[in-house]
Amino acid sequence: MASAVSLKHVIKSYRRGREKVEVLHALDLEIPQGEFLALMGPSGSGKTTILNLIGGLDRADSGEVIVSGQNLQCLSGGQLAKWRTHNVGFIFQFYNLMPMLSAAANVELPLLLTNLSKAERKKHVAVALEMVGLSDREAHKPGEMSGGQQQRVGIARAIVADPTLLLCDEPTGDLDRKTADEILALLQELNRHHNKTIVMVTHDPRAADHAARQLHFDKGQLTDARATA
Amino acid sequence: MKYLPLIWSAIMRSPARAILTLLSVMVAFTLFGLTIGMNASFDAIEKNAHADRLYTYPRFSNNGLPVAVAGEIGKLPGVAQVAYETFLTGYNQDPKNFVFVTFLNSDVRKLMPDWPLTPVQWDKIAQNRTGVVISRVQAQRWKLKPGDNFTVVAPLFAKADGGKSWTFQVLDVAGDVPYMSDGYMMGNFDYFDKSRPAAQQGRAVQYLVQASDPTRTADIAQLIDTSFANSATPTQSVTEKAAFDSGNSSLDIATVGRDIALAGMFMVLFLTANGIAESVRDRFGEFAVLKTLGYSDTTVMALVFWEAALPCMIGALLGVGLASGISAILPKLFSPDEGTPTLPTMTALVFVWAGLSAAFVALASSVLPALWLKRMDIATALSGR
Repeated sequence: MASAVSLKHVIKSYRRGREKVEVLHALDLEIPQGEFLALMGPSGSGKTTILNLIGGLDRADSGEVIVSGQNLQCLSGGQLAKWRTHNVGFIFQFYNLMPMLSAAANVELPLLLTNLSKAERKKHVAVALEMVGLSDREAHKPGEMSGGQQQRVGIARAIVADPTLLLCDEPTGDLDRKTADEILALLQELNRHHNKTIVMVTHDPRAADHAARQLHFDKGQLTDARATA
Repeated sequence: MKYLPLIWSAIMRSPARAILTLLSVMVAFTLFGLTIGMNASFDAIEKNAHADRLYTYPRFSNNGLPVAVAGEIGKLPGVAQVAYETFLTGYNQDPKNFVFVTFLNSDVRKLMPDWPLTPVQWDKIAQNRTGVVISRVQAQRWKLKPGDNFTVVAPLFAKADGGKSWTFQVLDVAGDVPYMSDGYMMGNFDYFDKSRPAAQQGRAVQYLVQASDPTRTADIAQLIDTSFANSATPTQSVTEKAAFDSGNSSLDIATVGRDIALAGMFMVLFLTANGIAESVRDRFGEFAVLKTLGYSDTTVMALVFWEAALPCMIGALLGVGLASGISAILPKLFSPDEGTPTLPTMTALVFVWAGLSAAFVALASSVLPALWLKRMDIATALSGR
């Protein structure tokens, strides 16, 4: 199966004051298209850094980061922004919705960057909200919705531009068990029925069980890889 | 346009701050509109000044210059024509009702073709010694019409018989002159002069001089003053351009107005800059999300600019609109007795200046926050570090 994501000898370090801390040490990683992958590990293990590199939010010090056939290291800041619009959907732990905008307006945000007409955008937003089961909440603002509903809006925003890759950073970290299971089921559905490649960072083993494969990191190195049932 | 809901939601995130900013901008632009409107009025007056005319007054005396001076001025090189006039001040019925009458020598009509008197009205002044042609403002003020008699008590201007009461017949009503905001009453110089005691006769308070070369009017003014410097009647001359230039007076109203407008602009600039900086700081995480979704640096910076520009533009529009309203109402606030001072003229240029200034304020106040966002490290901003 073709790779959705390919990391080759990726080294990434940060500066903390005068100290240079290497977070990823010559990491190699292949993520096939259509896979639901969970990245696990303790804080500081480098899993969010991997997510940021794959999403084009950060740059590796060296090595290659190839996503959907595009070497992200070769793109400028502006090109990366454009690339993100069409290729990646982001789902955050704290939803990161615009509090003054309705659910529909929040979902529409990525589409404002496209050439779609207002009517087309509206149609896409309606489809995305329907997929996450929130058609009846399009006029509600984030403050008028539960955490689970807000995360569904976040997912609708991530899929509205129809990217092939979804990057989730602790998507259930702020939710109760039941709601978390519903969100994970929704992600599974997007993976299985809509062929989205999903990379999810999580601390929660039960959440990771929803993924097809789990990779465990510690101190910037892959320590364990296992397939889930 | 598609970003408008996003921009509007950002502005209305703090309605109190948005409304207070809008009100401040509006007040500043009202002031701006009025002062720039005043300058537009001064500019219009200055623009209408004749380049070839100048005025000569006695340098020290309040008693005018002998009319013979006109002949001497007329002989100076570069002088095309000379005329003269004098004034009577007094009151009608009550000392509070101030009256000002100008008496013109017959040559004035040749030098002042821009005054709105018809040839018939000029002839009437020349032919009717006790008559005056008055402007509409004066006719309205004193409720006069042609044929009416009008008496002026002039304690400082006695007649030859000692009487201080001057009665004039209204010959006609003529158009107003923009720079004579109180209107005018114009009569026959010879009648006034011959009615005065012998010792006071043959004197004029102001000389109107026309230069043959409009580019040399200032030189002619200087030449006149130099020629009479050591005479018994030293003069002071000023070109009409300089006389109508508000910047030439001891209080440069146009510059003061511009400075006030500028101070208002800076006040608004600091206020808007502070507001927009605070707003961007509060929503740094949200901008990080927008950049994560694919919003480019340019788009995010444009959003910040429009977030500053919308209140500025709306405030400027409301402010200049209010200034226009005030300018329209102002003339009604002055009674005819007081005359009407120079009022702001709300030309299209005033609106253009207001729009440009609002855009500048928005641009200047959004530069720094926009640069913060451009330099933002998305990964760091998302992590909340």
